[in-house]
Formats: sequence, structure tokens, C-alpha cells
Amino acid sequence: MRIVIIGNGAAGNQAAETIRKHDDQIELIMLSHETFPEYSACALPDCMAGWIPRSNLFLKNERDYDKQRIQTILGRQVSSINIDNKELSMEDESIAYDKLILATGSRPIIPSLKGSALKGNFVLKSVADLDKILEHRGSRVVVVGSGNIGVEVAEALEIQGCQVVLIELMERLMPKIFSHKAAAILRDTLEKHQIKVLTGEKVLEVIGSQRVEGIITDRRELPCDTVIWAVGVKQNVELAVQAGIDTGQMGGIKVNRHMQTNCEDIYACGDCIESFDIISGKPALSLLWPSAKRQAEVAALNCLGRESAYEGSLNVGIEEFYDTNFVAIGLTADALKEYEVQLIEKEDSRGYYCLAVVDDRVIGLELVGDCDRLGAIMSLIKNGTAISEVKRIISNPELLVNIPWYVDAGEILFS
Amino acid sequence: MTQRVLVIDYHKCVGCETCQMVCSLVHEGICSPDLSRIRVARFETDARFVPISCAFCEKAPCISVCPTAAIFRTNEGAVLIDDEKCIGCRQCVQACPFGHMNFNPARGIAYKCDLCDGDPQCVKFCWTNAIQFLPMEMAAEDKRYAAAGKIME
Amino acid sequence: MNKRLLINTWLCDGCGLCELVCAFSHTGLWHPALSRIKVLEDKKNGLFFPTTCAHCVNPPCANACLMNVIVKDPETGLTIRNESSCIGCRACEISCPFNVCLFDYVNEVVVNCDLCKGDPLCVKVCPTGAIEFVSVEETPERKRVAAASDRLLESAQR
Repeated sequence: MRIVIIGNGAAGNQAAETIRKHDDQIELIMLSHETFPEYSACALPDCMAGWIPRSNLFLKNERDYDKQRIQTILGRQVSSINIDNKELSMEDESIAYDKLILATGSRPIIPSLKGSALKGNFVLKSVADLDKILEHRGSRVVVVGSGNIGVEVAEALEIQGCQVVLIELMERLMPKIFSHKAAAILRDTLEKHQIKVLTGEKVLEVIGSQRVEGIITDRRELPCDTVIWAVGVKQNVELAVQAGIDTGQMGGIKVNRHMQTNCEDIYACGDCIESFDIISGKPALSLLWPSAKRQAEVAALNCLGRESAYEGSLNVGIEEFYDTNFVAIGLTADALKEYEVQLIEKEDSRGYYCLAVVDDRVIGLELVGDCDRLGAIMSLIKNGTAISEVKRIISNPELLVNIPWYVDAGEILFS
Repeated sequence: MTQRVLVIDYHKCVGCETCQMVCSLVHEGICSPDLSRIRVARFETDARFVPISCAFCEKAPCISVCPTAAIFRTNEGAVLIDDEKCIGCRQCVQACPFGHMNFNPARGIAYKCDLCDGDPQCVKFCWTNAIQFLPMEMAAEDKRYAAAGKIME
Repeated sequence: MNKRLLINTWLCDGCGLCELVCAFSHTGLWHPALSRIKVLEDKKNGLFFPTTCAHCVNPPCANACLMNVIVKDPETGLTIRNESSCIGCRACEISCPFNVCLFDYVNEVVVNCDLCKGDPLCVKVCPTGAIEFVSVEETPERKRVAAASDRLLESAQR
């Protein structure tokens, strides 16, 4: 049997790993349009900041693929999939498959505004992007978008000595995961470190003749020599759509809980799929490294004929900006709008946190500061453990003795 | 239909370990006491044998301790493990007050009595009737009669 | 035949020696905050709970790691890390249900108990025997025998 994996990111590689763990005979081919071996896109800003050497970005080298007996075809684009013949086409070559795993990921968006194609406009998703940004040696940078990437890039470039302006469309930073309080603390932190933060502002145009010379927003004009767009990603589903594979309402490839597409022998995992939230059960795009790996594991197991069902994605964001941790787990910010939520909120010398409680269960957490007691809380959120149950155990030493990590959870829940 | 549980009277156990053979055969396909869910604790010098299986606790410590909610209770009262969710942390092994929870190092998951889908085989094969599968209310019946008998003497 | 730490929680009296020696042997600093074994406290009841890495077979920390630094050692089955590649993001720390990943603030990486290369120091120094180094296969058997002994003892006393 031959399994072909399209994609060399977190999902593609985890799928390969899981397949090899259970079967070292099956033929495995991995395709990617990039030439690099597997690297962590999450660590690109760390490299940009100078905290890790470029070589550390790569998680595998050629020998690792050989050791795992994965045949790699890198730097080539798959042009189409023929689901009837079970064949992939690439320029002048065809590859047959018995099972296919799509792990094509996503690509960052640059809105088509006037000037957004000028030299000096960048995104940060691949090692190639990073190389281009560093080569450009900008000094006055505008970062557009304050999601994880935007804020990480803003910090990284400020640390490298650039003058940085961070522009966010919504009225607060990291609006998808943080509510006003945590977002305000983040803003303070960044501004204290000379990052100019503009919220509720929209970029209308990039100006310059040969290269980026400034931007125009709906409020002002700003000179700059670099624009980094961190406004979101588009899922790479064109190949799938063309082949007749269904996509979901949010734009990702539609899969069942076995990561199977509407085409029996084709599975999909990672950024390119439409997932569902583990707490709300609703369709969700979970563009996270751990989600990709877990989905890939499920896809691979099902590919091998072993039953495995995906439990859903949990939103987890952990950031460190200027030595302060910012954490969001589960349903937070606007995702809580439709729930009747009780809040457990606290601010002290250790930091600030806010837990959203629905029906005696914690469904979300935002935290700034000390994050060393959160593992137990994440379990409670994931498992839907009742807070009253935690209390029952903490109050009874004979029970607590088996579940001591509830001491940590109790400090957050009940103090 | 009231919940039925395993009722073990260790006084009747002669340590033949047939239950372990049958349990492992039924669940793992081979006769291997090491893979049995029910285990007999042997006290050779006292010639005492105590079979240990799941007590199906109402407030099971194993269910509370499991960090991934892999252990759950069914409507019929059985306590089962979802193999896929088990991360092999073995906290349930430490939590069970009776030492019933087992761990399979080869598969990396915990395993326990599952009442054989409502038809426990150890009960069928125990020739001394040390293991019975009774409704909860009846579990104390034998003891009551035995105690009453003693009082009447 | 793999051994893991078995913690007899009720025997812990909170002396903290395990934390001190763990921190010192790994970092050279007598600093409990750098210990991979953490002793939690139930102040109300005066109880102490040593907690450390369980070396889960399918660890949540490994799934969470953004650099795939955490793997299972094929020989020992331990959860090990390639510390030089750790970027200190702490994703593993918040994913561990037992809160036993440790952020080493000196080296800015996250670490976990490594069983001191097969001869755990905390076991050696623990004055009450609260920490033992026991084979995984042995643990259920010990508990069974202990529970059964209790039962036999109870009925003998009656």
C-alpha cells in the first residue's frame, strides 16, 4: 500500500510519524512545494528577534526522512488530483496513491490595496519570508494586524532596533482571544517598550514609488519602509476543490471525525481543514500547531484502518511579550457572547486572570502573568469537569491525596 | 433493572486462578494471568486468597483522577476506559483504593474489569462461587443470613 | 521492567529535601523553584503532595510542543527533551494536566523530571520513604496486596 501526504508542515510530518509508528513497511511519499525540510513556523518570530539561530528552525534534516523511510518530493507543486484514477499530477509526472492525506496548510493574506505589491510589503509564514524580511533591513516598520503573528513580529523587530507601529482594525489588541482588560495590559506592555499601538484604525493604502515609503490609514499618514501584513490566512484548498472534495462553510476542507473527506480514500488535517471546537462543538478554524498534530494523528490512524475519532480543537494561545506571559485557553472574548457567563476574576501581584464559567464548568481562561499553575485548569476546561467536583475533592484530604494538582486549580478557582 | 455488581467472598476462594485464565483469554486471546483484569492476591503462608476486581464505586476515584476523562461510567453502572483517550499516566493505578486498576506497558494504557459487556465470565467459571454477579441490594444478603444464623445459634 | 517514581503521598512531611537536591543536581543552585519535583501543600490540613512527571505514554506536552522537542525515549519509555531546541514558549507547561513541567528561568527552557539517568536522587534523600523507585508492573500488585491485607486484617479483628 502507498500513502501519499501533501504537505511538509506540522500535520504532514505528524501523519508520517504516526504511520511509521504502526507500520514500517507501508510506502510513504511526502510532497511539498517548499524545498526546506520540516521547520516550525511558530518559531519564525523568535529567530527574527535573534533569540534562536536560523538553523534551529528546522526540526528535521534529510537523514531524518531517510531514517523514517519517507520518500520526499520537495520544491514541486501538485497541479491536480484525479480521485477516480487515484492519481496526483505534477507538471510532467503522475503519482498513484492508495490513500491520500491532504495537509496543505494555509497561506497569509495580503489585501489587494493600492501599493500592497510594492517592494517592502511582507508576510511571515515561511522561512523564505523571514529571509526576505531580514535581507530588507527595514528600520521603520508598520505591522498590520494584532493576532499572534502581528504582535510577535512587532516585538521581535522592536528588539532588533526598528521603530515599530502596530495597527489593529478592531478597538483592542488580539481581539479574537482577549477581552478588554487583558488586551489593555498588553497594550500598556507594548507601549512601554516603544511600540506605537493604533487600534480601531484601518490601513487604506501603501504609498511609494519603487518601494514602500509609507501608509495611509483612515486617520493619518505614516512614513515607513516596511509593511508586515499579519491580517489572517487563507486555507490552501484549491487543489481539493478542483478535485471535487467538499469544503465547509468557513472555507476549510470538510472532514468527519475520522478526518475523512467526502472522498473515501482522501483524508485531511491541519490548517487546511474545517475543524470543530471541543467545547462548543461548532465549526472552527483551529490554526494551531498542536491541533494540526492531533488531527494528523487521527487521520493517519484511520488511514491505517485503526479506528480513531477526533475530539475537537481547543483554542490555546500562549505568548510571552517582554517577559510577561499572556495566555488564553478555550472560549474567550467574543466567543463568549452567546453564553450566560459568570466570571471568576482576580488581579494581584502575580498578574491578572479571568475565568469564564458556564453551568459550573470553566469554558475559558484569560491570564496575564504567572502561568505555572494552568495545566490543571486546561484539563478542567477540556474535560468539562465541574467546579463543584474540584471543590469536593479539595475539601477531602483522602481524595486530594490522589489528585494533588487540584491544589493548583483550587488556588485559581477559589481564592 | 437494578445495577449488578461483582460480589467476591474471598473465604470461598481457593486460589485456583481460573478466573485469571478466563479473563485474560476472553480479553486478550491468551491465558496469561499478567493480563487478567481480576487478580488474586495470594497470602500463601495463611492459605488466604483474595480476588480483587472493580468495586464500581459510586464516586470512583479513578474517574476523578483521570486527566483526560478517559474513564467513564455507563448507564448500567460499569466503569470503563476509552482506550483512545488514555495517555498512560498511571494515576488511576495509584488512585484505586483496591489496587484493581492495571496497566499494560506494551500497549501503554490502563485496563480494568469491564464486566464482559454484562456477562462476566469469571463468575461463570468460578467453581466455588466465590465470585457472584448480583444486584446491589442482594450483595449483603448472604452476609446478613450468615450473621443472623450465628445470632440464632 | 521500566521503573517510575511511586509517590506515597501520605508519608510526605513537606521537608523539601527532594526539591533542594533536584534543583542542585540539575542546575547547581539550591533553589526549589528550579526543582522538577514540586511539593504542593494543603495548608488547611497540613498535608504535602510531591508531584512530578508521570512520563505518560502519550504525553500532552509532546503534542503541545511547537518545536517537537519532546519525544519518548524508545528504550526507557521516558519523556525526554532536546533542550537545545526549546524556545521556552511554555506551551507544554500549560498543557501538562499535573503541572509538572518546570520553566527553568535561568536557561529559559522548560524541563521535566529525567529520573536522574536511572538513579533518582529524590528517592535517595527522602527521609520518610514517600518517594520510591518501582517497576511499573509492580505497582498494581503492591496496591492489591496492601488492600487485600487490610481486608484480611479487618475481618481477623472482627
